[in-house]
Amino acid sequence: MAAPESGDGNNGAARMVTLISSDNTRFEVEAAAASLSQTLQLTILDGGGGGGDGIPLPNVDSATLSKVLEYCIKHAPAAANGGAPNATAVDRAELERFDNEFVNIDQSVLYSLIMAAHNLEIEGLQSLVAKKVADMIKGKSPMEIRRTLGFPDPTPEEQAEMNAHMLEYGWAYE
Amino acid sequence: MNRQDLLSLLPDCVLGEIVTRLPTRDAVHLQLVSSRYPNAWRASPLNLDVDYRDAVRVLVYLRCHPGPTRRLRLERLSTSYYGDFDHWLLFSPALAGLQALELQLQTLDVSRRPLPPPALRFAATLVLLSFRRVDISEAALHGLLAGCPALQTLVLDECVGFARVRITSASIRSVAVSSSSNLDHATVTRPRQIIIEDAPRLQTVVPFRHRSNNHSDDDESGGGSSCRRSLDLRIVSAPKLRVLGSLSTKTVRKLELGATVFKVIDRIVKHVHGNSASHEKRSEVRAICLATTMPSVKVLALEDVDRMHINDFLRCFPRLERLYLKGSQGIFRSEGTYGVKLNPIECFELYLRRIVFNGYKGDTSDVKLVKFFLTKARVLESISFRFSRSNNNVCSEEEWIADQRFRMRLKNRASESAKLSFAHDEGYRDDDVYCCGEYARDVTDHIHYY
Repeated sequence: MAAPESGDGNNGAARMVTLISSDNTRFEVEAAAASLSQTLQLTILDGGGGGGDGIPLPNVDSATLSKVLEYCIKHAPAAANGGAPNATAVDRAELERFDNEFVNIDQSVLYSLIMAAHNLEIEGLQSLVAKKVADMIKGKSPMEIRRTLGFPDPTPEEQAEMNAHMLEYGWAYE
Repeated sequence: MNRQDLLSLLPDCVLGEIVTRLPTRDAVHLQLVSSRYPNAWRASPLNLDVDYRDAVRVLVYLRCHPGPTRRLRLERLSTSYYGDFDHWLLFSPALAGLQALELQLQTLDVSRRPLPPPALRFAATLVLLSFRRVDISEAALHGLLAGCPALQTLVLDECVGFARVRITSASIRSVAVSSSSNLDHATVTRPRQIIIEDAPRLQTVVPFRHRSNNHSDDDESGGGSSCRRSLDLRIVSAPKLRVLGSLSTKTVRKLELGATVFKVIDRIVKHVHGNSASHEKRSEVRAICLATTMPSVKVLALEDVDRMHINDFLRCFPRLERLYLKGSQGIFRSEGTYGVKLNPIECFELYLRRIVFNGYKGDTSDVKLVKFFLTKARVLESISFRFSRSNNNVCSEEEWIADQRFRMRLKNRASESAKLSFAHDEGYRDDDVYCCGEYARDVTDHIHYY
């Protein structure tokens, strides 16, 4: 019975696809949302992921996948409209708020999210997380960056190297 | 045991995505943190903010980067050293394919030759072009704009050398223009007219001014001489225009939207206090002709608008959803039931949802205006009042707010659910440009203060 309908056969009800995380949790989402992933888009266009057989994602665990899908579901309508041009300013402001809230997370989660966005090739999410990390680095001294990113304190050699670098590029430290 | 750091685990291309988003200074800092980063930096497109004072050293530093560069911002550039950059801008392979160019000169030095052929080098790829205090001739500017097929954002901030800009562009989305102010050379040509001739994708038009420069304006505002510095703005065809403002007597002297014309008019206002009478010269903007309406505009910011003529604006933008008001003047006089019935204000019926008063004072006229909105706008969801702290010394802030709410009470509100909220207006001093709230951010992010 589970014959997957073809990609263009769209009769009102949104087509659903199933994604399976590395720890075997099944997620059922609208094809439009999952298609934000360039990686998944082709499979979905070919009619995969429908019915009983899901699309396995061995690189993404369930916690991360649910987070990723939260992003996709939120952004799918805007993406379907062809992005910004048609979206109202209110919608855009709302999406921006969502995005800011969305990346306000623990570093380990952020890391998984970066990798998932990269593996699944979700362009918007990739740039969102990259921007988040860049913002974490902006305006900080090298020592502060090390601490923010969880580096161990520098060894004496590293410290010497830092000092030499500071001498050379002093302008960047004024 | 040390926990693993976040970035070390990322593949190079992801790291590059992050590095390319960092301002130059931070990218330099990052070099130190891990030995991997210099490689990631060299492999990712540049995003350069160059303060002139660092420029020479930055140029040296950049020699080891092969490019490309996505964005280049040169700050506090001094014209006398311009030659140093000319060569770099013209020939550096690292700059090939530049998408965003922001040039900001420290001061306008009109004795120097006008700006640069280098900008032309990037015309084909430029998405964003922002000039501050640049002297550029009308022909050169038009030549440059005509050569930019992908340009989306244009900022002309205190630029001189041209009297008129005509914008005809299939790609342009946002335009911001300020008139140069602190410059009194008689020989300098100032921009006087902006004509949006044909811009099918244009969404945002932001005329603005720098607050730091207008103290002198305020002193002489009685004489209306600030108008000298404001511009004529004519919009012939911009069917997608959504965000407009801030319109003020100090930024726009004449606004032509198709056949509709708003114009600054100086008039004498008589004040009578008991036996003494005084005269005040006041500049106000009003519609001379109200024919074309602009249903595409959803967000409008008005500054120093005369309350008496606010309906002119509301009628001109029948689908207005958000209205930002700042420092209104004059006395609001309702047109009475007849006036409004004969000529209803369309945006009140279905569209106007949010009003923001910046620099709210709360005098009788302000309250009258608020009550007018509350009795007429049917779908209004909220009115925000942003007031500055120094406003009310007489009573405590809570008392003042309570008093304001009391005075705004109405039996016949058009929209029961409209919320009134009061907040401090912290950024009020320098937020001229941000009048349209977050809606003009794509362009206002590229206007800078220093």
